[in-house]
Amino acid sequence: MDRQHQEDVPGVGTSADGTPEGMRPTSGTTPDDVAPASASADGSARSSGARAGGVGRRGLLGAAGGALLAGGLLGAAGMRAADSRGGAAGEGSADPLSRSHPLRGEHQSGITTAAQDYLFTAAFDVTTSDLEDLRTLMADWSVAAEQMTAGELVGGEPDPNPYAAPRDTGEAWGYPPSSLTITVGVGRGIFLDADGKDRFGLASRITEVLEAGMPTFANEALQEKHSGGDIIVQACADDAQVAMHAIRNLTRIAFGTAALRWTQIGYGRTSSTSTAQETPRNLFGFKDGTLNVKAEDGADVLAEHLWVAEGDDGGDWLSGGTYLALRKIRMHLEVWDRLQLGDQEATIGRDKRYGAPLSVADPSASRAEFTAPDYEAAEGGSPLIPTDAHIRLVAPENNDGARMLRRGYNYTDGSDSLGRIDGGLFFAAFVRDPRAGFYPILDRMTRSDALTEYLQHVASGLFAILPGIGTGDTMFGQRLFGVPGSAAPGAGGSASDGGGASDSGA
Amino acid sequence: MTPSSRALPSRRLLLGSLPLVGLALAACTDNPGVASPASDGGGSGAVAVTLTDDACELSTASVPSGQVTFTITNSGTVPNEFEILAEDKLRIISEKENIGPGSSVELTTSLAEGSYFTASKPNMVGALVGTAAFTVTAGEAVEVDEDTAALEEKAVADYTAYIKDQVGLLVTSAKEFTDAYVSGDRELARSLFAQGRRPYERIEPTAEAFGIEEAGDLDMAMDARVQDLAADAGTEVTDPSVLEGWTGWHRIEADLFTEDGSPFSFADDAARKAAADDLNKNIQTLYDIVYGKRTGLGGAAFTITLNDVVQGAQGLMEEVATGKIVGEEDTFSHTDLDDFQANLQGAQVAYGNVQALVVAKDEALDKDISERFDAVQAELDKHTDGTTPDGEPAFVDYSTIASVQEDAGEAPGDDSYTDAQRAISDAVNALSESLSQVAGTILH
Repeated sequence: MDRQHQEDVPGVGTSADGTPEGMRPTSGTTPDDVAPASASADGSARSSGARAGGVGRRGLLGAAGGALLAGGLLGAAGMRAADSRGGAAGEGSADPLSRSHPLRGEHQSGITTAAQDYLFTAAFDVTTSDLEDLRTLMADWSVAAEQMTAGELVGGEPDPNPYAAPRDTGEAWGYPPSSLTITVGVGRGIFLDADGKDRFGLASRITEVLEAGMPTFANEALQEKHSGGDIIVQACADDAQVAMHAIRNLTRIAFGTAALRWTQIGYGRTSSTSTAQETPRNLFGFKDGTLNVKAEDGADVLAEHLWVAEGDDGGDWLSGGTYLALRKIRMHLEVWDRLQLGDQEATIGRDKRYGAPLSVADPSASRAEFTAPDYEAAEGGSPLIPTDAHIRLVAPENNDGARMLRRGYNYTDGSDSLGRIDGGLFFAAFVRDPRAGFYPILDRMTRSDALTEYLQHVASGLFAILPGIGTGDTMFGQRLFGVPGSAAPGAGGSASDGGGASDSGA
Repeated sequence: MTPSSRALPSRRLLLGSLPLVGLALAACTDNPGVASPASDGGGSGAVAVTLTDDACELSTASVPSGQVTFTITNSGTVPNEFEILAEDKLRIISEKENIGPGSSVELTTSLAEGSYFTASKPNMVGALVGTAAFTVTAGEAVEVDEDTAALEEKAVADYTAYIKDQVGLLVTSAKEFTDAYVSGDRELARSLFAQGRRPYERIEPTAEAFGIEEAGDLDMAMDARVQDLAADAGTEVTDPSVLEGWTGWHRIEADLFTEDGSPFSFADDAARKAAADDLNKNIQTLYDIVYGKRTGLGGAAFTITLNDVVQGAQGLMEEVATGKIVGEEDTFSHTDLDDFQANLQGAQVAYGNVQALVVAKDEALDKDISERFDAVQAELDKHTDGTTPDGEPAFVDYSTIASVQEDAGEAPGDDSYTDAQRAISDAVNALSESLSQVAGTILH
């Protein structure tokens, strides 16, 4: 029943050769056998052998976790909130592969949860016209998600019947939970059809944010097929295959009710939970989205900027949830790489080596990255951080204090027909109200940011991320999809009215 | 996935060996724990189950065999699951998942005499809770088993009869088509191509099953696609060496639906007649095997198992998914939708033959499957266009609604499929996923 947990290998705090922990490869089955410069042995190329024994790169970084990883503005605060959730036994485990996050709680996991190494996000189009099917899907998904995040097979015990198609696809069989989180949200299409008509009887519940949709922004070239969707599922894990397994099985369960619209695989999580650690780098090679909120801002900041409150629009079903704004941003990597270092730094507003704001003179250590940018600092009449530098344009202090929790990942979708790497940033922002916390910043960025010249926004999405699944709930989004007045008030529908019970006669 | 590399070998892996290996019917079905059909055999009454977060209590630990209804009440604080396990505590005989706190549900199942365990699993994860022995004493289970066995025999007998019927039809429909073709009336022959193939497409997995060795592979001989042959030979589809070894429906299709003088045209009418005769000869061989006038490869007689019936339905829908939706099957005539319809009809018949067995075990699954068959048919119905000469609905040229492979050329890119193809694919995926649960439901 429980998958075999791997032997925990204590993480190594510092490497003998001084290689930053996050850059160290895992090699083969011997975690301590570090082969410093062999990037190919790292992360995604891990063999199952490495999986069975090696903690390697995760030893230090993963242990501490790190909501900052993708440059979350609320990173440090998010980390603290995650800790305060308590929950599953494995959550505090030092080894991120043996760590499990609870499915149930006030908020869904996968938002303030210390971000994992890998992302697999999938958007679904609903294919049924029956609310009951949708309800069953949300119930069946919750069961499968609870099993998978606990490191179990979908369906629990495998059925030994050789004539039965296995209920679980099997590629994560025996793997540890790997910090898997599954986060579900809904888009406009759950409420309204393409003509703006009530689709499932839920139209009266739609929020203004969802109804209006994301506005258009300058210079975007969005691909319809890779944007939007009726339902979003974000699976994150410290093992890419565990994340893949989650999306694949949820997709399978959805056949007949919802079908895949687009998927995105992301990587490139590194983390930083203290100033002693490295902040992640984007594919331009810069530390992007360095800490902007002090850890002590904590829960108040989350309540103000992240979680939808009861009194907010849609609070009856969305309080405890949030909005997710997605932007797939392709980076013109080859062009960028030819820029002079000084131009690259001026475009971002930070020095490339340490990530220090350009207002810091002669940075010489990583800690300089965390020095607050001084946007007034000037030399010879010119601001040290240029007026169109990326960090200046997106900084909260320059955006009326607007903040969001960023949880993006780098992505690569192979190469294009001109031989260019098709990669960039799969940007994800969780925010209480994108109209205040996200659109204005994106607007400034797409119009004025020097960085925009090297970017192309190619896909977009806007979803309401459902609140956490409560203790007695039987489905994702109980307050939206559940049957009102069912046998268990506040605790979910009964099986007989479609609250999610399913039986499998065997 | 490339169209060239998967084709025939993988199809054979799916279904190939089953009828020849001839799994005895009994071997698939002698499960004492099966539920009964909707007969009223058994009727041992009800058991009340009370679940809490740390206990699973039953009103009785022993019932007579037959239909048993468990009324399960979750008095705990978290969603829970009730399971009836076999004596090994591993095999789940029946279960009800995700029962919300405060709610009550019924689980009706048929239990044969024997030792079982009951247990719960709060939140559907972790260790079983409240595992307790549950005994089923001798009751009226014998009747239950007899009913099930009778239904299984009927399923096999009916499907066998259907295959014979279709192969019989095939002999005449193919002859009608090839007669027109050989006569030189190309327009008439084109109009008869889709209907001529129809009986074959309804039972294709059965024909495929007779192809284990290349030389005697009837499906290869009758329905090979030039793309696959060329890929196997590592050359172009127009390579004469490939074309020379290519026989069957699609060889004639290539000649009939391309311009005279194309690389796929036969040199003369004699070659056309030879191709027609070869197809008819192979169809006759299939007929003789199915009717027991001769054996298949290795001396195997034509037999059908219950598993073949189940896999027949599933295999036909897989044909649709891999060959028809992507427009690779009828790359010259674009009559893919006609084949698709025939595959669907065959799958419906195969499923219909086991439907009573499914209903007895899992009514919800049957409901899903029936609805999803209807949904696929509704997608197909959007693309009908008149009738074929025999009065059956005809379909539009598939290339007018779909991205297809033209004349065995380049396959459509993964990103180029149309909304119509997507809609069909979604409906087929939904149906196939449900059909994949049939085997595990009625076979053990």
